[in-house]
Amino acid sequence: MSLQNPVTPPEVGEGALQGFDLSGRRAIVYGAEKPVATAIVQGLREAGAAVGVTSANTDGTSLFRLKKAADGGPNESVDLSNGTNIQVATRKISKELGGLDAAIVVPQLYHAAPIRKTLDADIQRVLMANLGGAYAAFRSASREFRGKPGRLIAVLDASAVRGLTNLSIYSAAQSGVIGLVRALSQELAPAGTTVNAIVVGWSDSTQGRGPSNADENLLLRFIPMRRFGEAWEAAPLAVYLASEASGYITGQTIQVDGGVLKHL
Amino acid sequence: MLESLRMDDKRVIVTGAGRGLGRQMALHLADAGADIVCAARTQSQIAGVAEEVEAKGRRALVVPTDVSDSGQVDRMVQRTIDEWGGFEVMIANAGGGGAASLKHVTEVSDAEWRDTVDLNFSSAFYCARAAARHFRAESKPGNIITVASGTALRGDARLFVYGASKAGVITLTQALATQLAREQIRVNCIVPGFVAQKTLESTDEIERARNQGSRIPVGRIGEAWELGPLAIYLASDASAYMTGEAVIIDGGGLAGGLAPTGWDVQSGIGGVAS
Repeated sequence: MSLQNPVTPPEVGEGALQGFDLSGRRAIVYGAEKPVATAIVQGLREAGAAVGVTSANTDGTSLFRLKKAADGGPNESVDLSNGTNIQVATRKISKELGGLDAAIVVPQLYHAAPIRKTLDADIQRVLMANLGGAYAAFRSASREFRGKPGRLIAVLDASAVRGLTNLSIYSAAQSGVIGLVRALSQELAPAGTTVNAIVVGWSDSTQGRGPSNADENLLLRFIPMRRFGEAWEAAPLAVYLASEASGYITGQTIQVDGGVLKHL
Repeated sequence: MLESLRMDDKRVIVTGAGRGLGRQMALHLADAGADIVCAARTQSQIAGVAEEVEAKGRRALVVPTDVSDSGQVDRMVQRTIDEWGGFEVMIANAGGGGAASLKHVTEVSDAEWRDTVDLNFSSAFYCARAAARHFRAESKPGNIITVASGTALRGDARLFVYGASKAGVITLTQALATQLAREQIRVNCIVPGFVAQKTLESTDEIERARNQGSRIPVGRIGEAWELGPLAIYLASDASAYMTGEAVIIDGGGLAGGLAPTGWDVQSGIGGVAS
């Protein structure tokens, strides 16, 4: 199957804007306990989508936050390093939603250590939870699209595109997802499914970011906008990339970073 | 949070608004509540777009402008300030292939080189400078959006002058973004791949579009309306934390392109026509 011109703009509801109306669409968010992901769930719902969620980890805090993000909607406890786990949860949520049109995965299992102290077990765990998790989530979700155009989105952090001392394995895992996005965008393009990544810079929910005052925090001086991002600030882009109107954007990595990745 | 997309009473200058991508950006922004300054060389075309904007209940101002002339860009901005008191967003969209298109490097004259660079690269600088002067004079946040092209990121043999000019636009965007961020002025770039400049109507247009589209990963070329939602996103506060970004909308062309044939699973080799 190959898509053809002309392409009719999708209908939008009264008062809604083209590209930001998800009425009647069904989405799943993996790793919804992360603040950035929880905000994306809210954005998708505000745009009219029915949303199911999974966690990225199965510890108590993750599950508590998962329930909050779910807000009564379909939710499954998932360990993103376990493909079978992801497959079963995706099937269940897709069934509850009556199908699936979009999937957003937020894999952020952080690991900081110098290379000489990074063990085989760390490599395995970090690669599987980040790259393996995104891969398995895309695989399971794309099965649920059932040949219809779908939307796959990975939300990464700046380690996916820049290096930082002591983050070698985490960077490798995160940037691996960009390779996945590029190659999968080509494989799924004939069916009209798009695959993209959103890279978020330092946000007010980043662990260990320090104080939010530029006088006290050296980190902030490297952000052209002189502030950390807020959790909601990746959400409108996620809504757009999940909409039917973004079908001509695929294989891209789009940065919402306050400019931090653009300067020297 | 989606109320951040609303552009109510924001004033937006769109250059190259007479047709194609510029026209669609203008119309979508008007849908989001913005008033539009329609600028382009051809008065009759922008007058038509202005009518469409007004039909949506928004204000429109028609300002014939050749963006490759900095004097005309400054006058466009001054006229917006005189008539509307100012503006919040500048979309430097006007551009074009120019006379150097399709030529061999040995055959491009100085004049052809300069015309193409002026129309695509210098124009982005003139628009950004004029906008930044206004935002700075008013001490208010601002938003500048440039438009480059997929040819800026790969070597297109047929459009090398245009491609090089557009590559300049991307670097200009990134550099100005870092320079202006502290003044709350954001600068971002839209990078379109193959996009039809008008709504496809005649059989010929559709046939040509399908032919071009067959070489693009998604199997079709883009259509002008598809730039509208992206313009709303970048022009509005929904992208408040984005600056210096070049958003590529090209049907997957730049993400792939290693081999248009893909990789054959059965034979295990690439480049085999199936």
